[in-house]
Amino acid sequence: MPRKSLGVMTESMFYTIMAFQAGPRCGTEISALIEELTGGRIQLGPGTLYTILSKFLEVGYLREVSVEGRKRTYRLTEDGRQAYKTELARLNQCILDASAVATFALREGDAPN
Amino acid sequence: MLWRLPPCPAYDVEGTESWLTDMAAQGWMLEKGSFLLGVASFEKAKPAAVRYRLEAAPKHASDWDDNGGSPGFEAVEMNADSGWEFVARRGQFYIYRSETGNSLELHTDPQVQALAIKTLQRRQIGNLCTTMSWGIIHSLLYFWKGFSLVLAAADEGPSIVLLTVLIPLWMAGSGIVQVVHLQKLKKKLKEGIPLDHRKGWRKGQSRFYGIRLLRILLIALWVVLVFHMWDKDITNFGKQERADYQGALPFATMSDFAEGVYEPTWRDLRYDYVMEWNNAILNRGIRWYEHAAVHCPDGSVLQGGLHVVYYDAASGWMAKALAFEYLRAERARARENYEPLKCPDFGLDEAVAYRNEFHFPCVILRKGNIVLHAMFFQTGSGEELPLAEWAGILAASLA
Repeated sequence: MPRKSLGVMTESMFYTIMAFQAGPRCGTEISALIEELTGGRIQLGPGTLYTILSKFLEVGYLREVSVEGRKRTYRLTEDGRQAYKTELARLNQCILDASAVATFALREGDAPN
Repeated sequence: MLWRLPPCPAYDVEGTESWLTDMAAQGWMLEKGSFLLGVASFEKAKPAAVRYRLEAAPKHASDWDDNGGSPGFEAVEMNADSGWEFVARRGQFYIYRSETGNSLELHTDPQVQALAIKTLQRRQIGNLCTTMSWGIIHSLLYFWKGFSLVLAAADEGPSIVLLTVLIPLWMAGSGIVQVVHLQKLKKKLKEGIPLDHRKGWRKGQSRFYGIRLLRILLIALWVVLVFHMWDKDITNFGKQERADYQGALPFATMSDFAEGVYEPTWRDLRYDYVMEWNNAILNRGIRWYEHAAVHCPDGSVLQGGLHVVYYDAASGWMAKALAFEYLRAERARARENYEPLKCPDFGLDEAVAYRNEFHFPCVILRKGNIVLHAMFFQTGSGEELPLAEWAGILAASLA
């Protein structure tokens, strides 16, 4: 039975799945990477990160690859990669739509905000 | 050390967080591993601005788990690295606290927190449905096997029956309230609104304590009543030997069935006794278990057992319900052995005759507020005294 998708991702979820694009990671590495990547704009609370990781594991986006002491490392699965691509495409479409609206507004004579 | 009952239920995340934060501000820090039997224990400390946060357990957490229902090591470590210390578990929520004001919030994305609440809510709905299904199946099974709440209320008193029904219903109702509360919480978080960590918890405090206390009292009362019922059963409480019975019986017995020398045949208080009681729905109840032989002048012997259950109900309506339920229960117990018998009218409100699960002839007679069930088995060569005759004597004896 196919596992349930999480639907549209929140920003925290998207950045978390994005953090796995470069390879397997553990929880603390993910938080640090996201903070660095966004210049501190996005900071994941530990409860939020843990919930996201649990959900991703549950729906099969992630798989645990190693446990060293209390450090658990995860990697993206094919489903996870696909979910990331889908979300990325949706966001790209949003940007394209936003650009189209801006062009449309210029044509109509209204300056975009 | 200070012990306190929480002022709100475990699923009231905002209320619990606010209460614990206020306690810390007064110099009472929640003790590690607190909430033993639902009571919170605090240790004295310097009043401080401490943040408490609740996290929904991702899997069912219980004291019987290998780790005592604590969160996984990874979660504890991850949170500790960010300044959040795991303190205790209350119900299906883990309680963390941060004593440093500058540490990052435990939950930074309300919509993700909504997912955690959703997981918990689904689990609670599953548990509720399972419990309710079992409750319904068990009730139906008991009903199918001939158990009757009305008869139980008449025999054991309405209090124990009411509580037996009320307590599971109350628990189911509490479960529904919890699911609804979680739904509201989830909705709020899904809309991106963070939880209110400073919610006023005093408002519903008295109501919560009142409900909790009432529930504990009702459960305690139920336990006492069940124990008393069980004790009565094994100690033959209330039963007395028929020979010692001083009361006036309002119905005929075997000595009225035939003229002759009466001889009791079975002297065992478990099977040959008389018991009298009353309660809120019964003015008088009598259980008469008689085993005897009547040696008639013509040399014949009427020998057997007469089991009578007599109810003088508080109302005609109750008598009707008792008669109906008695017959239903007897039919349910007898199943294919149930055999309706022809019964004369006797001029009563109701008269039914049948053979029960043991194939013994029985009658149920109702007149006004009186209901009488009698089973008369004869152990002679056959059923010397026909049903119409002994049932007629019983019917005539009803005042």
